Amino acid sequence: MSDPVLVTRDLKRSFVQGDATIHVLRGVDLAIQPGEIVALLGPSGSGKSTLLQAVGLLEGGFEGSIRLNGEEAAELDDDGRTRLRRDLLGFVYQFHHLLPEFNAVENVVLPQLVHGAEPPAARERARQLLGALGLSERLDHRPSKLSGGEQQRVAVARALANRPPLVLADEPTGNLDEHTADAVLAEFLNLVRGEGSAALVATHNERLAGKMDRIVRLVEGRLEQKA
Amino acid sequence: MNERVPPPEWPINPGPDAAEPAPPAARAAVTHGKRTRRSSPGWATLVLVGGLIIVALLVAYLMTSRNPEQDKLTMNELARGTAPAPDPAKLCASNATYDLIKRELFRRAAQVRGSDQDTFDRLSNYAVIRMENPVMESEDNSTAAINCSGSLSLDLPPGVAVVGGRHTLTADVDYTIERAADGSGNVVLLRNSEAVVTPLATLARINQPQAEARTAPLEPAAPAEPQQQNVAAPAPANEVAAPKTSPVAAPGFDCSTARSKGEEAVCTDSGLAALDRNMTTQFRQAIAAATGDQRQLLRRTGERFIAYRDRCPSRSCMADAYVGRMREIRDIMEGRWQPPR
Repeated sequence: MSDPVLVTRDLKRSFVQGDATIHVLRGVDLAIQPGEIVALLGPSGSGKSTLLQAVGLLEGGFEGSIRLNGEEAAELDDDGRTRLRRDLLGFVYQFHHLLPEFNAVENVVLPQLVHGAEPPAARERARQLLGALGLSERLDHRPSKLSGGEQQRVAVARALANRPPLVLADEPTGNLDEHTADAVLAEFLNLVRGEGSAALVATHNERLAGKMDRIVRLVEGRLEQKA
Repeated sequence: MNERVPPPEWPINPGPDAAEPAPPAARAAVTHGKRTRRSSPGWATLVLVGGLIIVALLVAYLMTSRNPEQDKLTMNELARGTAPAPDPAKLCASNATYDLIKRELFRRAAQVRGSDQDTFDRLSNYAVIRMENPVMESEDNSTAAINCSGSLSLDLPPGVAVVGGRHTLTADVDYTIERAADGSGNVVLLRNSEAVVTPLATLARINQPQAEARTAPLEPAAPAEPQQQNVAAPAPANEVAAPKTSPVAAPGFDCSTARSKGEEAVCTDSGLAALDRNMTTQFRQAIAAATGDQRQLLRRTGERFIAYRDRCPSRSCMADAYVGRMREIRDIMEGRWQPPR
């Protein structure tokens, strides 16, 4: 078995509110293997997003260890964490966060150019991904001209554009109706599997979680695992 | 503010004190002096008291009045950051703040890209930042931090562009201005700037040969027109006085007053001069026919055009800029103008 793409050890996070200290993560241990798709279940407010923020190196203030592809994030400076985010991670949020002034193709091309891809290759890759998500006819549309499901599909394509070893998805279909959510999630899972990426997908939807390789449940700041 | 101290009132009507005998010194002065209309000891006392009041008022005036130089900051004060705190709302909209924001945008873009920090730093010197509707949102009295927001536009230098060939990036950003911990001045913390930073990280040089190919056919479409009455032609005497000026270059402004690199280039190139003349004519006709809003927009975009043109590294870039500006003027007047992407 190859080395895990993600390992967290005793990961903790607290927030101070007035006189009270709220312990959101109380020591999370998690390992994700390459190509494995893991559902992170938990009710609203249980800390799913906080865990994804930590693993995505998007916020500080955490205790414990986060290793991405064997590299300890705590030992890196700001530039180093930016490099890890750029090279190893893809993000899909509940809200698409597409750049409004750029069309669908350009939104998918952008992270590739940042990553050093040649523009023609980046454009071809964007077309291929968007085509696989059923958006061949919408390539030149700006986000404002796309439906919610289409916007989220573009966000999925953007997250996978650089073939990241790990995709972090925070309620990726939480903003969609059930029918569209099912369709987008199915396409997302197919694409992630096809690319060989691993994924950690936060959701509170048991039914959607059942379509993934493994479910971990965040309970009182710690993970309960279920195959 | 300097306040003038009113002159002391002369005691025209001496009060009861005037009847009292003058002190010995005053009496002596009076004794040895020439006696006038009144020589009572009370009159000397009045003179003495009045003199003391004048002296007291003069001292008070000198102590409270301010030297105009005292409002000026010394370099040491500036360096130490001991200057009086400026108006927070003005700080949100100051050029110094905008410059910090611009540099932070380029720094972050280089960080995201993971390379070329020096190149990005250099390019930031040639980019132009604009902020529309800068607003002070709040002020943190405990840390002296000022929270602001605004609609930011970043015009990239000529010769480089981001995805889609865009030269302008925009975002509604929040920014916080704080004193640097080391006392070196202010620092700016930026939020919601991804719409600028991410594309900026893809900054690339524009393919110049393509630009040449694009602009070359455009020049014949902009032939030199006969001078129109509302277009100022350079006076021959001025042309002689300006050796760089070619006799064939007759742009829509007086070449003897050319100051910027862009103006000088236009004054030595007949093709660019023709473009400038056409553009100037079109601009003046547009201004004459424009509504208030259109006029404002014409002027605002005109300033941006000049800033852009003056940073052009090549003739083709300048020609492009003129053609684009003429299209922009037409679009404004036809109500089809869109902010640059």
